[in-house]
Amino acid sequence: MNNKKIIFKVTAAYMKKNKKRTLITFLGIMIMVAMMTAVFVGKDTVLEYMKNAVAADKGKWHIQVYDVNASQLEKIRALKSTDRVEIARSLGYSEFAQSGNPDETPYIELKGYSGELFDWMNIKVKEGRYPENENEILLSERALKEGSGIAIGDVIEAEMFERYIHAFASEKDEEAIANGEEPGMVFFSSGFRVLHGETLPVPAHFPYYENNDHFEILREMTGEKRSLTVVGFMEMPYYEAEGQGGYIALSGTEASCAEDERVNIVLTIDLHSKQDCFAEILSILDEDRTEEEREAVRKEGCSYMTDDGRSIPVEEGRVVENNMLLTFAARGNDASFNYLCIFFQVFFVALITAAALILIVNVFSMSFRERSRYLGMLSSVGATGKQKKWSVYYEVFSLLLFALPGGILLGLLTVKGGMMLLYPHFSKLISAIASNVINGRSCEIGYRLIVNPVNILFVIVFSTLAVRISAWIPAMKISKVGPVESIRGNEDVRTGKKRYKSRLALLLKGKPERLIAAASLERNRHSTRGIVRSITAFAALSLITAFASRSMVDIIKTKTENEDFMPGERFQGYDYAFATDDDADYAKGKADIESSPETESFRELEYSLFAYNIAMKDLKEEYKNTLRTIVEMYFPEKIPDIVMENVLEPTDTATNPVCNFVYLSPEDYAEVAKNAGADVSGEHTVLVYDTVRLSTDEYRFAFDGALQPDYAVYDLKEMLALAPGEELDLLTNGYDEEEDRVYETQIPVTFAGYVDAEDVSDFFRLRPGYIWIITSTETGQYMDGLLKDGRGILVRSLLFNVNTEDSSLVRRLSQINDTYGDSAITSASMYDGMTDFMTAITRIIEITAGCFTILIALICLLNLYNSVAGRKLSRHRELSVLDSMGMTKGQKQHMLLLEDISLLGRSFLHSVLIVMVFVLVLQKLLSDRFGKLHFTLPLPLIAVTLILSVAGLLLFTALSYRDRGREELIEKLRTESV
Amino acid sequence: MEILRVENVSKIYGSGETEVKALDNVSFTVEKGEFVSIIGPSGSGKSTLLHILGGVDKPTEGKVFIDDTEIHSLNEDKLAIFRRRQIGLVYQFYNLMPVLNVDENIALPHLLDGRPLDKERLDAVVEHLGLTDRRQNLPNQLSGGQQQRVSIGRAMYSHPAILLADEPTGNLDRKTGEEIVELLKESNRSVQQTLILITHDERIAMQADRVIGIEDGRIVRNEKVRNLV
Repeated sequence: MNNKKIIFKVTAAYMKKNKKRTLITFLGIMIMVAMMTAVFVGKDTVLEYMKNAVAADKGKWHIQVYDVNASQLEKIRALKSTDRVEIARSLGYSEFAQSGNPDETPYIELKGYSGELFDWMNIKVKEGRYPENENEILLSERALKEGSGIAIGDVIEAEMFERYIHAFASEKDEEAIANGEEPGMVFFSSGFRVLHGETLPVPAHFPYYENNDHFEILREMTGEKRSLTVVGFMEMPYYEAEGQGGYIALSGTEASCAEDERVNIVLTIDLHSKQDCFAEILSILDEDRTEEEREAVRKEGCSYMTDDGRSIPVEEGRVVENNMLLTFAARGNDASFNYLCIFFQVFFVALITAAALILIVNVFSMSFRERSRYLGMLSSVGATGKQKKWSVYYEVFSLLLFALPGGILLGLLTVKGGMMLLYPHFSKLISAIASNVINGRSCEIGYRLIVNPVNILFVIVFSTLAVRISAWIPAMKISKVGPVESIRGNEDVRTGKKRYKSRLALLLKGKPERLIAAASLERNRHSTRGIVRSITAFAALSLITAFASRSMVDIIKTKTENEDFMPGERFQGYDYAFATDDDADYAKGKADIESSPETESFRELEYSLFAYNIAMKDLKEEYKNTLRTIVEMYFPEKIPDIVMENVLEPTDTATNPVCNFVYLSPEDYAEVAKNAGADVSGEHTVLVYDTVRLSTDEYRFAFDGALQPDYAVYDLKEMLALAPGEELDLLTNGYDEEEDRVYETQIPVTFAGYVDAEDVSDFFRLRPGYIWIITSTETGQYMDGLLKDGRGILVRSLLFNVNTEDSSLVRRLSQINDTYGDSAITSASMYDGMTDFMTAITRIIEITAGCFTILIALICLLNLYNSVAGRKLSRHRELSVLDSMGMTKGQKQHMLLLEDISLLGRSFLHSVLIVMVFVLVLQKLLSDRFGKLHFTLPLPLIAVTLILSVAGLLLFTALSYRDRGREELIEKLRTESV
Repeated sequence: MEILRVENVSKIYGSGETEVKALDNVSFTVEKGEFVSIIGPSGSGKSTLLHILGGVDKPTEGKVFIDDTEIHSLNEDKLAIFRRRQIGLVYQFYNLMPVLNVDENIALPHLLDGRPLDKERLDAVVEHLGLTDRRQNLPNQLSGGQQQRVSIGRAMYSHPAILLADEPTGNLDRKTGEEIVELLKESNRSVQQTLILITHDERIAMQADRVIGIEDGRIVRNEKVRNLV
């Protein structure tokens, strides 16, 4: 017989004999494999789902480049980092005689798409087919919805033209132009602006406007005539907006570009390429520029900093990335997401390995006494250390062999189950991300498990490694078992020359339960350590997962918070929102809502952004130092004077730090003050939000010489250098229209104290990118009285519910339009939906961490059960002696309870130390990467972990030590006596 | 004065073909302060009898009275309390608490009864057993003879009415065995503790007041040692 075979045979026999223990080890290993599978497959599945979701919103393209000539196109096509390139041509506008909405959309806006572009841009045919040449079109179904009678097969005789806008210049503007000054300008809600006297081509998807006193729309016929046959209708493309001047019509087009032509190109990149495709494209575009042009672009547009430190100028919006899609494909321009993914993947794998290691070490440690008997016996007949080691390896690897297929299957089921749980939250997340652009387009995104063979190979490799590492410690120990241990068989209790002092106090007081519990824990080293290790593992790993997931939520929250002001519960549940930029109309509508018998309930939401400035002298040194730290990240060598003057050492009012304002009704303001414990009984009091976030996102410097540092963020608390009750001077630069001059003014208010997120949580959540000040509408009116113009960008809305379906109030209010012609009344549901994104992402992380914690907890609980049961087995002599000495059930339970309390105490102490070290390291790692972050304590999870640890130990103790009557006692005595 | 009465005690293990009658209608009495040896070959049922007398095993039939209390009619807790107050058990393999030192092991039944330690008495017992320099050792730091002394000390210290010793010398060399028997006899003599001792060893058995012989679960002799001599 092979020299290892006999060891394997004996080990197999013992595995069979100890079925329960073998099953626990097997389950532990299987869950470990399942978790490894869940980490690898889960990550790919979620990223694929997110990619699909983002692709369903904006399409599968990666980069769009506008205004490209034939030579640039060829160079871009030839890049190794590009995968496929398609062409999109803007073919101009044509009159659309069949329009059902000629007042708003009298044209068609024609585009030509080549090859795959229909698919890449998510063009969905609702009826008919895709166009096959330049004379066939697919028309937006919006045309039908808005009353057009056009049908498939109809032909539009199109005379193509381009649209231009010319803004009229007044005498004053002409004077300014003559003096080399900038004239006035016309702003459009899309952000497009035209200087008075200037003529510009309108941007894509521009609305239809009648000519007026400020500007006129011009058209230039291109001379091109086309007979366009409608071959189908499509869902509105994601970029088409209600109210744009032309219905989108798409025709087929050639994928080539003529020498004298300029086209837009859309491309996908090779995701496996290490090249910076974006930078390569920018370089190609930059090659044709003269130095003057380059300087002009740099001045007007922005610069892209390559990894090797080159700065390439680029016009704003000329090269566009589908950044979300690239992010989920691990190619986003912000490496933080990739870093996070890899960090947590490594972290989870390490955690799983730790859990498996503790289980396996414990299983062998708890059964050491029994193993030492048979291995010692084998040793006495000549088994070598290596052979004994193989008994451990044989046990774990034979279990791993069966656990691998089962674990992989369980892991896949876990991912499937997790995705089922997560799906509603993902859908919510997607609609939160995409709701503004989808505009009712169908967005059903299914998910499928992404089982990559490479990942399965990783699972097998990592699981094998984890088992090998875990088995190494017991294997080393067991290899040293000699024949003597086999005979003695009492390894579990300390031996040697050490003396054990009597616990006299306990003896004298007659406390046998405490005496035995203390002695047993102190002197049964293997079993005590085993249980302490198990509870520590359970508590520490669960808490570590809780902290890690909480950190993830914190980071993502910090990174994704886009809304400065997020309405809270008090502003939710309303049907209508009334808002207009005309003060008189607003006052009229407000009075109507307040007095109407149809109004069921209402609440005014009012806040202003960039309302005032706070003098640097009123801010603490910490604020100034942090600001300097951020600036120095951009300019490590020397901070330019312009930055010093505008940021660090403000020279005028406007360059001081700005603050935002929230105005609450006097009752709500009093409630918030009460929550914060602040006294607002004084005159013109204000409360200050206690956190302000300074980050590289809030302070960006894109001019020459500025580095592009990694994202860094600093949360500062209680930033004012003022005590409650002191005067705070709000600074502002106003424009006095009557006197046509800019004036500076100070508004003194009383600083009443700080409020934190909790104090205002019912009302709103604030993104602390700026200092936020909360005050009452009364103080707001006082401040208005000292100003000659408005207070910053005012967001003001009256939310209300009515008690009838056919409301004359709503009809009256809907007649009011703002200056852009939009209705003053809208659905208030957007205020409910604003919280969806963060809620969804938080829920996703919580569910993922929850699933993970449940699996980790399962391993740890198996481990704990094994340890408790093993300890009970190892002390059967103790227990039988106690029984035969007349220990009652009550005394035994009391003793076990005391032991459990002590075990829990020791374990929690260990857990706290481990978790503290972990949290500090995690915070350091994440802070190094993301800047100073505000980490929140996952208190509910800490409580749940502690409760589960206590409940688990008590339950397993009760199960393991349940009394099986006198038969057991005599059995135990028999084994120990005759 | 009668302290122990065994009435028609039978013990059957298993059932059907595997049925084994370990004790078959055993009856006898023991007087207070008496030293009784139970002898018999291996498998004769003597340990089963001792376990039933000690309340750690239940008879299939019959009754056991200690101080007029039928011990097997007591519930688990009452029996446990009765056992720690009235019965001292000494086993062949000592059955000491491996996690308690000598002092703690000796005081254990006393403490389990909720009585505080009598330090002077403990010192006296330890000294009497010759374990003074071993009192802070754990059982596995002691020799077999020392462990058996602790076991006897445990029975002596709590002062039970009956001391049941199951082959207390079976695991010891002859000299140590003799010392152990001397200790047991001394306990029997000095405090009038009833001693029932199981042994194979005729020579030890003959030191008792009475010898009960068991074979195949039945009492085959029950005689005063004087008569035998």
